[in-house]
Amino acid sequence: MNQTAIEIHDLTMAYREKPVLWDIDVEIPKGSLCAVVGPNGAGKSTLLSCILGTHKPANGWIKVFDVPSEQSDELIGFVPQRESVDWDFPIQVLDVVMMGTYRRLGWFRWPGKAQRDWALECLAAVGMADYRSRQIGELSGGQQQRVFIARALAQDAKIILMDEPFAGVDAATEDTIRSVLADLKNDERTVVIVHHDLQTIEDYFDHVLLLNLRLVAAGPTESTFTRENLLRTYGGQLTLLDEAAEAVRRIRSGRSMGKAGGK
Amino acid sequence: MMEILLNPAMLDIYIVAILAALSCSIIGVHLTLRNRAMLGDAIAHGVVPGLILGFIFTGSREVFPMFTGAVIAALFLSLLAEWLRDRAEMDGGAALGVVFTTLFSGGIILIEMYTREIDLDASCVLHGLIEFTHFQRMDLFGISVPRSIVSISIALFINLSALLIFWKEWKICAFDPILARSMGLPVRTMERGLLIMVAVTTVSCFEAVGSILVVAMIAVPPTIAGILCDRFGTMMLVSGLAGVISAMIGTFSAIHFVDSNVPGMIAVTSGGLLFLTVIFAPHRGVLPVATRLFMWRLRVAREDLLAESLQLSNSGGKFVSPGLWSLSGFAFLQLGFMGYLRNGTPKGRGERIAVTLLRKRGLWQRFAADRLGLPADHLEEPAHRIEHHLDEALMVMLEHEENLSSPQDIDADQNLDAGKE
Repeated sequence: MNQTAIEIHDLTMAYREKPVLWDIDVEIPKGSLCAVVGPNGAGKSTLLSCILGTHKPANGWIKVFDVPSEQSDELIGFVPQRESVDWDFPIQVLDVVMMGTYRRLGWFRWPGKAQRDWALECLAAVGMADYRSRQIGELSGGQQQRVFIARALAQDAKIILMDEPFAGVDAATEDTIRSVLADLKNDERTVVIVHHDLQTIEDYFDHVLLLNLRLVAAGPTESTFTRENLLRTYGGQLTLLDEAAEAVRRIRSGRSMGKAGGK
Repeated sequence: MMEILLNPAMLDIYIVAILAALSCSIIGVHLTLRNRAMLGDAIAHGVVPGLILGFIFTGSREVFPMFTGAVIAALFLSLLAEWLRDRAEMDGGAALGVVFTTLFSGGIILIEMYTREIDLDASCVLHGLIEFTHFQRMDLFGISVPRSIVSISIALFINLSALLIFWKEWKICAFDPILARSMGLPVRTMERGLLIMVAVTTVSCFEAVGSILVVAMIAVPPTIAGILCDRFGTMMLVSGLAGVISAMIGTFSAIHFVDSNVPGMIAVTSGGLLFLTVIFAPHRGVLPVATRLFMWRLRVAREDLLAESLQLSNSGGKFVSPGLWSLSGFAFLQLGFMGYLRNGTPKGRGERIAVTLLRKRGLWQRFAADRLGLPADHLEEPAHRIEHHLDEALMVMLEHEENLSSPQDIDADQNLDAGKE
């Protein structure tokens, strides 16, 4: 339980010189359900991309189970934001889950019966086996989330990242996703979730990571999710960083501030 | 049919049309799944200056230099469009539109400037020279074969083998590039590879069938397949099939009926096929959807008539038959014809349907009153609507709920959902 699943050291991430994450140092323990919380534009999704390895940080490193993430064979599951998936894509539920097996299958080889059975097993684990032949667009929001969780299971991912799985779902769906999360935790999997609803953090998550361009606080929910930390995350303390970022943007665009224009 | 087989010139036209349709429709599915079908359009036009410059620099009409020029032009075009989108922050579609129209017009100007030296003109860029396929031949291992057949076959071979070798990689890159990248797949390289395939296909089909057909075969058969299929593999197959059918019907009618331009006729045929698909596709077609809706409304009208007449005959009231020119009038005729409704009273199966419906209505009203706590004036109308949707499984569940003595928290929506599955 005390093992570290994800260790981030001095991570800085920039999009064309505009920093979106500054000097992040954080450790996420194995088996935790961790919420990433912060205002819009705080770099939450970017942090997930860095952990996933789809974005290269400008500085710093990430270790996954004590191995630098570039060298790690560990697969990280990812449940994308609802809006970023093409739900009209001609693909059925089981095909989506089978994608989780592709990496281990390697190049040139076609998925066979073993992969099919494994994918079905993962689908059954989230209670979606009956839907295997549906086109993914025909599912409800909660069912879609579960299919993508099943895909992460098919990857045999010890770490699963989710980008706002609770956004825009109804209460019944929220309950279903929660029970799947509880199963994942029982399996000793580490789940990192970008979450917006501050009301439910204390109920849902045992670990929280407060983020606003830089790390405000991280740790167990009881000790970390405090009023003071929230004020620091959402409040005025960080305007300095905003201004620095704004200054960089101005340099790039070649435009000066309003008052300079008056001269 | 015999006539085609006996006439080698005609047979060659068919072969070229079918091969071109196949290779373009494979590319088309890839592009359609990335919402980039217009890239085919852009490349089909944008390669023109590359073709011409290839000729101008080498002074020969050999395949290779023109081919290389065109592929370079295609890559240049898409990279420039990407650059405009990302760096100049233009809209992606606008960037592509600007780049390809500029390149295409530049190509046309080049053709006009050098038109005395090349036997290419602007209209042959659009329509190709499929009618002369048979007469433009080359030597392949000592055998004389039509040149277009060779070049299009090469493109088809490349497309098919790339598709089969990287089957699952194509699928994952198109559906979820983020997952692909997190798995270490070279997504960018694959996209560049696709671009080269588009360029190679376009250029090799170009001389024979022209840009119109290339654009049509990249855009239309995949769209047809997209309406009909919900899996990657079936979409590829159906797209290829739609391309081949368009090619055969188009060529046949161009030769035998209208005596016109073959590629144009193929493109028109594929458009017609797409129209038919939109209307008649079993799941999503306009007509089947409308029919299913109509049949459902008719069923509701029949059930309502039966229930109403049963209620009236039980209470001694008089059943008035509905006006003929309405949905219920038609339903009334149907019921009489089936023998479910005689002299204003339901008979046989009709009676059973009426009884069941009234039972459902009553049950739902009680459920809504007791469990959902709705006031009395909110019960009648919704029950009328919902009763038709209640199936046996749901009825059993409702009855079970009603018979429970102690009120419990139940989620009506969840039960409804469960009932639908």
